[in-house]
Amino acid sequence: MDRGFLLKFAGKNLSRHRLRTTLTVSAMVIGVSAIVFLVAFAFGIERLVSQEITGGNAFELVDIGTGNSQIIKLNDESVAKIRSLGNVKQVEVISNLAAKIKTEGSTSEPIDVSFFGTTAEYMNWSGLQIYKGKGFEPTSPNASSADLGNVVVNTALLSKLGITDPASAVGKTLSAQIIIPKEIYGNGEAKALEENILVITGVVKDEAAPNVYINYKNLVAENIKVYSQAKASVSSRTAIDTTRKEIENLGFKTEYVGDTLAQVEQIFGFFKIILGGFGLIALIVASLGMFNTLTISLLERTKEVALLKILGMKRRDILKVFLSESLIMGFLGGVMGIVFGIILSTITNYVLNNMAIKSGGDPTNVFYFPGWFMATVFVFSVLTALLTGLYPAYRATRVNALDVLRYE
Amino acid sequence: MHKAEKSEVLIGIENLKKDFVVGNETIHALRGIDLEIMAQEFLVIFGPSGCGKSTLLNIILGLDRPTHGKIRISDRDIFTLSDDGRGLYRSRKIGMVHQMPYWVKTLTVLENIAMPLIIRGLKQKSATERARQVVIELGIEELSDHYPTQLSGGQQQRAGVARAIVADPWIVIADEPTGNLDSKGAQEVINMLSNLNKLQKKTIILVTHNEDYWEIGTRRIEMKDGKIIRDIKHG
Repeated sequence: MDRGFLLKFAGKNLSRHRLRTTLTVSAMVIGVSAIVFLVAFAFGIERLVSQEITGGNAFELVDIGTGNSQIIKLNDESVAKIRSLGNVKQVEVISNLAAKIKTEGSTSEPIDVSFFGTTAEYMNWSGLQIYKGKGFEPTSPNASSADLGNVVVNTALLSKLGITDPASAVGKTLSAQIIIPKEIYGNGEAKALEENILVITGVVKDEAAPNVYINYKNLVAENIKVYSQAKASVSSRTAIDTTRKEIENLGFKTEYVGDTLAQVEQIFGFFKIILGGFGLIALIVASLGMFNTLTISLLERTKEVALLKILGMKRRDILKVFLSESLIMGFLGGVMGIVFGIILSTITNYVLNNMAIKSGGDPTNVFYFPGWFMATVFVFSVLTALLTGLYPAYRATRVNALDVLRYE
Repeated sequence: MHKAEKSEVLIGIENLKKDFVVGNETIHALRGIDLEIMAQEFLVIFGPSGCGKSTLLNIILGLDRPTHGKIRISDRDIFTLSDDGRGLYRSRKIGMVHQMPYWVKTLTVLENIAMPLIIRGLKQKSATERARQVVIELGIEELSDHYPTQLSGGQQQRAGVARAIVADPWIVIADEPTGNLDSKGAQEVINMLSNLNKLQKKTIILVTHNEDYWEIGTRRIEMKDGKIIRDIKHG
């Protein structure tokens, strides 16, 4: 049977009762958009949490530390060994120091902060994106202890220093007394450096605890021999397990953010099922409505079906006529439901962002629409409609033309 | 397409019986019908209500299965075919005009007339072109773009004749086609059927209980209580 005619025929049959068809499709739209809205919200929150944890391409990073070992040291020699492992692309280090900080010239009491000597790459891998200003500037290899150079600070420190506008902090100078713990300092004793003047060049967003970051090259002059931690970038996600074992064989402890994310994914998977379930209930109610519409439509058109059979239409083609009608409703419900769901999410996101901005927060996307998810929702809505239409269509094929003729 | 010759037996019916069981009672609707319908005949089947005319037609259409006996259309026992096979046979060999015309109400008259061809697998465009030719031949092209519910009874019946012949069938079966028409409308439909027989050499089976049409065919049979009681051929 001519497919073009089949679709036209199905369309005409649906338009015969416009209000009924509109209501049926509307119910589908509500069901589909509920799924899109709720699950996209779960996806959005999951993405935000994942980004908060990983800060980017953390699935290819391994965290390396010494645990509580007094024997194993993370120094240039061991870093070179890790770097030489087959799947390791790059190794970046961080040294945990401490410092007392105050704004230059301030008479107030200095603040105790964590002071990190690290690299721009390490910060990037840790999800510490520059929020205001810029990252580390290259500094002279012969930098003196009194000229340690530029630092990046976090917003928690700015709050402690009473700086409310992060942008205004860039260019400000800090007075710092840096303490190098004995575990890191080469001579086996802690060392307090002379007071240094530091220039804030960048700010990262982090409200947890006051931190200051400096390019670790600036600390070389201070005889720092040992690093607190390192991160190794691995060539692919599949090589993570092997690389972790190789690093652990060198005596180090490793951690992998993927372990944490797997738990996050598990929790959000459950969250998505619950939210999707609410949407699914709406879709089930909608498909019951569609079932009702198609059944009533069949009862109204029994004579027509009998006529088509008398004219010689095959059962398979009668099935196609009715399934085409449910297919059209499923298609329209799917497309319009997805569009409506996205519009609803966008409006909600806009309202939430406005509220966040008014409360001093930053705008963000709390909804996320992965392409595969949207395609799945569309296919699901069409399949649901087809399944719903299957029984009325089957009943149509069983109409006994003779009974209709006799009744008439 | 093979055209049935005048001397050819188009429909052969042997000892056809049909019983209906209603409660504890068995109703003998057909009690042994033997009949040969020749190609290009205009057969008028006459009889009172309940004499078995419609039952006989339903069996010829392949819609109802006989209790006993055989029916062959062009030497083929149609009840050896599946449901869909009999549907195909109807779509190719038989055009049907009902007393109360059935329509697909959402389609125009022209689309309805083209329906048997679309069912046979033609593209809508070709089917519509052929349907347009037929409505022109029958002089009802002004009805083409209307919807069936907008037509009078007589117009619907004439459009019904167009739908019956659009697929160029061997046989046109008309079951009380004038039952709901006024005399003018009825005469127009009868003239159409008569012309189909005379000009297009179609085999016509007209079922009626109206004695006015007794003389119009080339052959008439009279039925009573499930039997043929008279079979008269005119020239």
